[in-house]
Amino acid sequence: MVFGDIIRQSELVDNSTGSAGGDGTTVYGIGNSDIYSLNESDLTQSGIKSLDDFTNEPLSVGGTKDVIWGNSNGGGGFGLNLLREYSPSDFSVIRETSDFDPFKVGGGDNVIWVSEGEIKEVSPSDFSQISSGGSDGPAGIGGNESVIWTIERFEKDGSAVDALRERDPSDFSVLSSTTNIEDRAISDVGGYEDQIWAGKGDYVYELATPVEIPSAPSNLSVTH
Amino acid sequence: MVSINLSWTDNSDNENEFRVYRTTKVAPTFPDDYTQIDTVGADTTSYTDTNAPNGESVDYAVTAANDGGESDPTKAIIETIGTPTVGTPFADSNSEIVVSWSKNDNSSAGSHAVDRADNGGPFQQVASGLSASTAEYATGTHVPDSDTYQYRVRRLAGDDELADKSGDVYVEYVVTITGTNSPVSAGDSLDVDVEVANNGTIEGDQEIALTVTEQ
Repeated sequence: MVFGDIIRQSELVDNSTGSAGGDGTTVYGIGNSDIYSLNESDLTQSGIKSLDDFTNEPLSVGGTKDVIWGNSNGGGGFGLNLLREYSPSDFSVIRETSDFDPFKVGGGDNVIWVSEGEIKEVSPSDFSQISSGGSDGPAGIGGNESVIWTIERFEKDGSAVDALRERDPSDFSVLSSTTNIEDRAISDVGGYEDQIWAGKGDYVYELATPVEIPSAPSNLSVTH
Repeated sequence: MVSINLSWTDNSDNENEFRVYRTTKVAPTFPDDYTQIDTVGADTTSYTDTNAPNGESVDYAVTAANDGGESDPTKAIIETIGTPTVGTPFADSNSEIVVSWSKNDNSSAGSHAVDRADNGGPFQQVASGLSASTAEYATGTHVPDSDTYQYRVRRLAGDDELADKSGDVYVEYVVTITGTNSPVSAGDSLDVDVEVANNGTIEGDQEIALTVTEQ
């Protein structure tokens, strides 16, 4: 498996925003204004909450079995988006803030990653901004305290190219990058160190994480 | 071609394979100047290259690789052994036929051995332990009896041949006796006409003057 390869996939119903997140237990996706949860083991659906509220349509989702971070349209498709915490049990809105205008949101138990012009780290406790930088605003973002996964679009030879990237949470530096996803137009990513959840259209994918290059052998000896 | 044994230290536990590279280019740059010659499985720490070129300065490189990519290489260089080339035998000042050769390499590894086949029979080793820098072997005083000998040279390390055997060189003794009658006796002078050949091609005659001594 090469970084970005599809390991497995699950088709969601009308997953119009193509977002995905989660951890090693639960996978989240969004479809037609609903937040879905899937069992990690077989990607069967374990929960669905139809918010049925198009004025607060969830746009992206990430988190763990214990917390959901997401964003939604702040009002009828106009104005600022809201950064939200949803309940894992019933997907109800626990908290929200309009201090940010997030394009995509992800994170883990103790961290929120926001794509808003650049990468922003937001405190889960009070939604204060901790740090920012790293990129021009990823098209998708997720991860946890140990890793940031992003989808980043850049121009190459006059065309837009999407790259899946691993960034260091401490300084946002790029640790790994691949355009292996280019022909799949994946719109959002989430996950943690060892798994990447990605969303595209009606599907949630598990993508292959970067493989650490082996250490160089040494002491080569050549004899007759 | 010669065989070269490679060994290395495995410093990773996540490799899928090791890749073995070789080049004969001068001051090579990795990987551009190298050719991958083989791969071996994870946890393997040795490899034998059975197709190394003779008599060259050969650079080897080994990397570890998996789906994530390829490590930096570990490198080593060796002067490989050449295939000896035997020249036309000649008679030295002691009237001995001398087999000479070129070793065709810059290596000091191993030693030379000389084999001889008598009158079309099988080759048998007649000399060994001749240093790598040795380039000739005096075959000893031969009591001519119209024999045909073939000589060849090998480069050895112990019993292992480090390179291909040389080609055969022929020495044919054609005895003519002058100044006396047969059978010869002590004090008679003999002129021995020796035909020398390289790989079956007669390249000339040499006259060897011998004096019969009593044993």
